[in-house]
Amino acid sequence: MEALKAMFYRQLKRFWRSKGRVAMLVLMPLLWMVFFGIGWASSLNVPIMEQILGTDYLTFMLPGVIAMAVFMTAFMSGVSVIWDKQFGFLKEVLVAPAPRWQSLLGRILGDSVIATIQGIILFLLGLPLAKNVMLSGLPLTVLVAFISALGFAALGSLIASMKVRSFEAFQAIANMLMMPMIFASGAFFPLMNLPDWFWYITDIDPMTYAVDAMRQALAGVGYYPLWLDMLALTLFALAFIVLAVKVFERTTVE
Amino acid sequence: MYAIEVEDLRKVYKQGKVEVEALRGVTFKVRKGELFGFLGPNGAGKTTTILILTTLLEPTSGKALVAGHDVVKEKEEVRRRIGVVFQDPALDNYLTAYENLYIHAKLYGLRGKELEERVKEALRFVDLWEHKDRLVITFSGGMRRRLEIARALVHEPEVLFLDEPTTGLDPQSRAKVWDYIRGVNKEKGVTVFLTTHYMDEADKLCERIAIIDRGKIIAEGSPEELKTKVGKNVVIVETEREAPCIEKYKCEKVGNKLLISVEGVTKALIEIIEFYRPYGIIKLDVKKPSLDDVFLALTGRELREEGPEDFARYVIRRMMMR
Repeated sequence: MEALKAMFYRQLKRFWRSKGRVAMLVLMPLLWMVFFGIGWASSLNVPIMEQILGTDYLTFMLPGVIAMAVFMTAFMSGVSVIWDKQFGFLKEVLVAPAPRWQSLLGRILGDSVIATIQGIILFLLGLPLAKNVMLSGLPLTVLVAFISALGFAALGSLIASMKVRSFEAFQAIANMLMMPMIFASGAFFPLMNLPDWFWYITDIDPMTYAVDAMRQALAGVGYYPLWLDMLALTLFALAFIVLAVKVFERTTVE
Repeated sequence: MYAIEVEDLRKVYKQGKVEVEALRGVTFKVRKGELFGFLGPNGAGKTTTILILTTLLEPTSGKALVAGHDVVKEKEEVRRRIGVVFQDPALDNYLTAYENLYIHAKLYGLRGKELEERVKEALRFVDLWEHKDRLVITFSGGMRRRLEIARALVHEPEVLFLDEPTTGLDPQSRAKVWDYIRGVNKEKGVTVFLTTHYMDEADKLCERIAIIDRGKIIAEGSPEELKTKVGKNVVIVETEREAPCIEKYKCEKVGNKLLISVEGVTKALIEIIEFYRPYGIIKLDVKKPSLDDVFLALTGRELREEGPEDFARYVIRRMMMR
């Protein structure tokens, strides 16, 4: 397991050295929380809306924004595979006798820890705004953040391990996937009255289950049973870790 | 016993419908403990060969054994026994020198006290121990190369591969990198396989070389063997007064220079000096054939693209050829 530990260590070291750059990934969800959140909250915090949402709007939104931060950080960490391709470090990993699954899994685990930390930072920053948040839900939120981060980091690494060579290409694919996944997940609005076609996307969007589980933990409201959220996220994470490892094992330098 | 055995190695790259033959039947052997060089121009197939020998690329056909193991069927066994310095740096710039080696050691399964000892020894070997806590991004090109050599040695490989180890380095760093490569080979007894397109590097550093061109090996031997096989020495004489050609040797006049092609330099020089002394010798020079001339003789092309040759140089070249 030394290879796994080595790559885990590397990801955390790099994160620590580039705190500034990584902090930018917290900024976007925070801006959503502050402007979009407070903007809508000033109109939506009326009794009838609070009945529909089950809580005040900012408390409703905070789990969504945490999930968004976790998702973005974990998914974008796939970029590190491309960095390594461009700066040659990938060859160093590929030519080592260590099993490839270990080095990739170490990387995914490291990125997931970082994404979870980002989620916790966002939780702390959002706390003063969301007045009805249940602090007791934090441990479950951290667990959900970590499991979904594993899936998202694996998804990012999978895309980066395929024939994607440039940052630009990865960025384009990332934008194409990230925005719809965030919007369809119900991070910013309740799911109950959505039109049918919307559900096709929402149902298969792993973000949906991450947001729903965190919302149950922090706001006490949700749409799916909690066990279903957890099952969906775990299966999603497992499936994409296996896929990413399979692709990474066949990676050559051609 | 051989450290590397390659037989009829072929590699065809397919890019859409276009097929490029990078290697067209390469065969050679490297003995254990040898410092072996692969000399050839850019695009000759040097990097392709290294990538195949280091298990990162599969050959289209042919067989290659490194440290006694097949590079296609026994990848893990081969990987365990080799160290590689790639053509482009493969360091993590945002980690320190120590951290780069630490991660490498872990990837090769080292741990605990042994890991620390080996990393320390490797960094000391390339004189980078006092810089161990600096981020690699602050290192110069030469320091990075040395760090990569150190890294490739941490797990004590049997064979060290270096792909163009001094490309892009200034002369001082080059000389230093050469010293370390010699040290690896002589002090640590590691077999070294390196590629280069610098003929002086192949000449001064390697014990034996293979010259590769367009995917084929066109000559093999020690630099001295290759040079004497292909070329003669040329003595250049300039005199104060107009002098005739010496009859005993093949001689040509180019402007005020006399170009004389000889085999044994010492004996010929004595005769040449005696012959031309009456004419007042201003300048006397001996051009020995270089590997560049060897390459030219074999392929009709220059190893390195150089500026337009003056006529005297052209004649010197021609006279060297047998």
